[in-house]
Order: sequence, then C-alpha cells, then structure tokens
Amino acid sequence: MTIPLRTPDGRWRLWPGLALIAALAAGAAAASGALGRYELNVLTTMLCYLVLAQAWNILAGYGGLISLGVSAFAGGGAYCVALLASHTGAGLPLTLGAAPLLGALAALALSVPLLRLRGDYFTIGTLAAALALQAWVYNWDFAGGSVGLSVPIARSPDLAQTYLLACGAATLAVGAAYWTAYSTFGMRLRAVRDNEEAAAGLGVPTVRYRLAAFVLCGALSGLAGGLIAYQQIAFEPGGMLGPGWSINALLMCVVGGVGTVAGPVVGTLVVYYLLTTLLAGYDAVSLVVEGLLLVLIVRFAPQGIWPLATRYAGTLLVRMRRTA
Amino acid sequence: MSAAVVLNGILLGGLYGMSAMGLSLVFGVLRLVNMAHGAMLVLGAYLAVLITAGTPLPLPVAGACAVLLAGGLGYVLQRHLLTAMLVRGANGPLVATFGLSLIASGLVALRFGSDPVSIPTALGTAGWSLWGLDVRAAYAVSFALAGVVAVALHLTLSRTRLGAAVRAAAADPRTADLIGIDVRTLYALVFAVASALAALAGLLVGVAFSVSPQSGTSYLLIAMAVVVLGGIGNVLGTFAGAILLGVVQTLAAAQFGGGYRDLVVYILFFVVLAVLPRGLFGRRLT
Repeated sequence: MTIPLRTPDGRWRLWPGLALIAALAAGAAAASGALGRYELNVLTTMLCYLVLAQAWNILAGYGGLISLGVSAFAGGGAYCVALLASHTGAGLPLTLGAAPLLGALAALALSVPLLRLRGDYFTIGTLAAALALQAWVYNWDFAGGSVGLSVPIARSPDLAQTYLLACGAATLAVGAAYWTAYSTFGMRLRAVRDNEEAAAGLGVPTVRYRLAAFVLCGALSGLAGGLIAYQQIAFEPGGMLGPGWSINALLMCVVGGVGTVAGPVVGTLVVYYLLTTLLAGYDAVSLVVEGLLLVLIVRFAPQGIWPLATRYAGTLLVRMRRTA
Repeated sequence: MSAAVVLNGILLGGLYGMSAMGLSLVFGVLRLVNMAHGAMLVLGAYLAVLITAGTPLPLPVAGACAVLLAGGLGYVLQRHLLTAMLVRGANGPLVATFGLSLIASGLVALRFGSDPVSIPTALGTAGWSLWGLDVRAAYAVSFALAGVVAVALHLTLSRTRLGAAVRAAAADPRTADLIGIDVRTLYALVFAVASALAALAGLLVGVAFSVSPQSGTSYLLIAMAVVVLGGIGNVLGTFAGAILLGVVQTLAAAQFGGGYRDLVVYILFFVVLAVLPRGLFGRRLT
C-alpha cells in the first residue's frame, strides 16, 4: 500500500511536511539534556530569531507586506511578560499565553490606519509604531522607563526549560509558515500579494487575508518576545524596543529566501553565525555588513540563497543523470 | 510666551519641510519609498563636518561641497543600483534603500563614534527678535531657505520643460520613455536633487541641533509624517504640512515636556493615516 503523499489533483499533502517539522523539533528537544549552558543559550536565542524570521516571512513573503515594526511586537511581548510576572505574580503559562495575544491585538489595532493603504505606508507605519512604543516606554515610569524591567527570577524557567519552550515556539512558527506555504489560505494570500484586483475579482476578501497574515505575524512575534524576556531576565528599552529585531528578521529572511519555508531557517543560521560569532562587539561594522548584505542580495540574488541553492542543485542533478 | 512658541514652531516647520521635500519628490516621481532618506540627511551633516575639519574651507563652502557630494552619490545610486530594481517590483528598492541606510549609519558610527555631533557656528546659538518675539536664528534661516527651495522646486516642476518631463515620467514612465524622455537619467536626476536636499536639511539640523548616526531614522519618520500630511509629490502641500507638524510638535513639547517630542510625530502620523489617508491637501504632482 502506498502512502497518499499527494492529493488526487497532484498537490502535496500538508501532513508529511508537518510531521517532518515535528520530528525535527522532537529531536532538538530530546538533545536538551546533552547540551551545556553556552549551547543552550545560543540555541535558544537562535530559535527565538527563527520564530521572528518566520513570522516576518509569513507577512512579507506570502502577504507581500514588509514590516519594520518587529520590535513593537517582540518588545511588546517581552514587556507584557515582565509586567505580568512582576506585578500580578502570574505563572509561565499565563504570561506566555498573554504575549502572543498582545501581539495579535496590537496587529489588529495597527491594521486600522495601515492596511487600507498601499504597502509602502504599511512599512513606514510599522516603523513608526515601533519607534512610538520605544519613545512611550522611555517616558513610562511604570514600565521601568529608560532603566528597563526584569522578570522575577524565582518564577522564570531555567535554561533547559526555556530552550524547550523555544523549540516549541519554533515548531509552531515553522509549522505556520509551512501551512501558509501549502494551504488554501496561503494560496489566496499569495494571490492578494501578486495581483490584488484579480484576487478580489475572484472573490478573495483581500483586506481580511492581509489582516490574518498580519495578526498571525504579530502573535508569533509576541510569543518570541515573551521567550526572549524569560531568557534575558533583565532588559532595557534601548535594546528590547530598538530596531535590531526588525533588521535581523528582515535580513534573515532576505538572505535565506523570502517566501520559502526553508529560506528563513538557512538565513537564521547564516546571519546569526555571521553577526554573533564573527562580528560580536563590532556594532558599527556589523551594521555596515548587514546593509551590504541586504543590498547585494536584493541586487544579485533577489530570491535569496536557499532558492538559488536548490535550483543549482536541481540543474546539477539533471546534468549528472544525462551524463550517466 | 506662547506666541513665541508658535512662531518657533512655524520656523522649525521650515526645517522639517526641507527634510521632507526630497522624500516627497522621490515618492511622487519614482514611486519609491526611500528608506535611506534620513541616512542621507545625517550623512550631509557629517560630510560638512569632515570637510571643515580636513580642509581650510569656510563652512558655507564646505556645506555646498557636502550637498553636491550627496547629490552625486544619489545620482550614482539611482542610476546604477535602484532603477534596475524598480523595474522588477516595489519591495526590492525598499529593502535596498533600508540596507543603504544601515551602511551609511554604520560608516558614520565607525568614523565619528555614536555620540551626537553638531556643526559649530555662531548661527547655531544666535537668537533674533522678530516682531518683539525671541526666535532662534538657525530656525529663521532654515525657514527662509526652505521657502525659497520649495518655491523654486514648485516653479521648476510646473513651469519648465524639465518639470514637464518629470511630471510625465511620474504619471506614466513607459509612455514617457516612448515619446523620447530619458526616464532613467531623469530618475537619477530626481534622486540626486532629493539627496542634495536631504543633505542640505542635514546641514541645517547639524547647525540648529545635532546629529548622531542613529538620528537618521527619526528624521526619516518626521519627513514621512510631513509627506503623509501634505500629500505625496505635492511640494507646497509638503511645506504646509511641515509647518503644521512643527507647530504641533513645539506646542506639545512646551506642554508635556521634551520627552514627548518624537511621540507626537508618530501619533500624528497614525491619526492622519487613519482619518485622512490622502493627506490634508490631496495627492498631485504640483
């Protein structure tokens, strides 16, 4: 008996990919016991970046909306977790549930001024939202002002638990991107991205699909922010609400390949290695390198390195078969 | 007291108008959101600092050199990098100009560090009395310069052959190309003028306040808010929107304290987008 991997009309079914993602996640989670403190820390950070990158990818790659407001959602999630944990004594499940909820609500609120207009306004508007939140928190004494906040250590998960949670979040994010890539939802979203009038003419409620992508992105980013808060324990608005999260999410997606599921994973590995191990401590140099990388990729490989690599491998395979 | 605040706000609006005109021009003609506009502004101020420090040139000459250099840089960037991307779709140039802004602020931070730098002149600290009200000389000079530039730009766009070509390229680049307008060169020229204006605004900011490698983003947002207020590609509308923003921001800073200066810009931006998505004065290319 053959396993039905494709639907009768020839499309791939969703479950084999989702099963693969879940298996990978289970493998990563099972490895937590064998990892030291340093590895756990690095991997958790990387997984959080992966969540942010995939959230950005769903919105930009499949929805065609470029966001520069990742820090508004990630930072919002982090502040939500820290404020809830220190003022209400709420436990891990409640705070980590509230963070994505806050992200989704923020996206919903921002969609009122931003989603009715051209995509350009969306980009600038998300940047404005991120800067507005940062400017507000700097003046907001309840949230620590410019000093920042900390999560009570007694109620925070330890390194290994944070790592497991990050594995879960990354699974969720990659799964969501995979679902967006291969489901009807994603197909319609791409139709809205490529030709809004045609999609509307075929009966796709364009604004609602964009809104769905934006809310999904906001929720995932908020979740990542909550995890980052538990990992960093103490943070200040300069870093947590600064442009770094947006730059990295954008860079990871653009480098790896926007609008593919594997692209952001590859991009996260490449960019994280490049920026944290090679350029750690050289902030100005890493800014220049990030900028150069963006310009070069957009100019010479606008699809990103993952689609480029798969295409190259495909041609190579065909040639080898021919010569064999 | 409050009359002086309003007058200073109006004059500060001139500075904002100067910051926004280039962005509005590029947005209106090239349909390109130039994320590097703020970085170009900051770069202009730092170039002037670099030239005055390295050569015996007086500040006005050094400033003119910086503006010309920025214009040349803008021309090359548009001609050899951005136009090819524009043809392929809107998101490429947006990401690329964002990359350019990162490069610029990184380079500036490498050379000058991340502390704010101001351009030292007597103009920066001088104050005048206009109609019995105290105003900052730097604001008044910026306002006058911005007014002259806005009117000159408006007249060029509406009354000259070059302006007609620019408007044609903005309305329909393919047809403009067919009737013999060199759209690529025109795009590069528009981007060069926009970059030069950004650098000039940066000079004025450097004299009136100070610039740091990170301040590009905040000026990009100010310029963007002004463009949204004034209507895209509408030069005189941009100037009017800038004055409104200057007044609102100055009043808010006087009322609530300086920490809320930037927040006001962002909130105004959202309110206008939600309520008046076409801006206060509508969209038209002059």
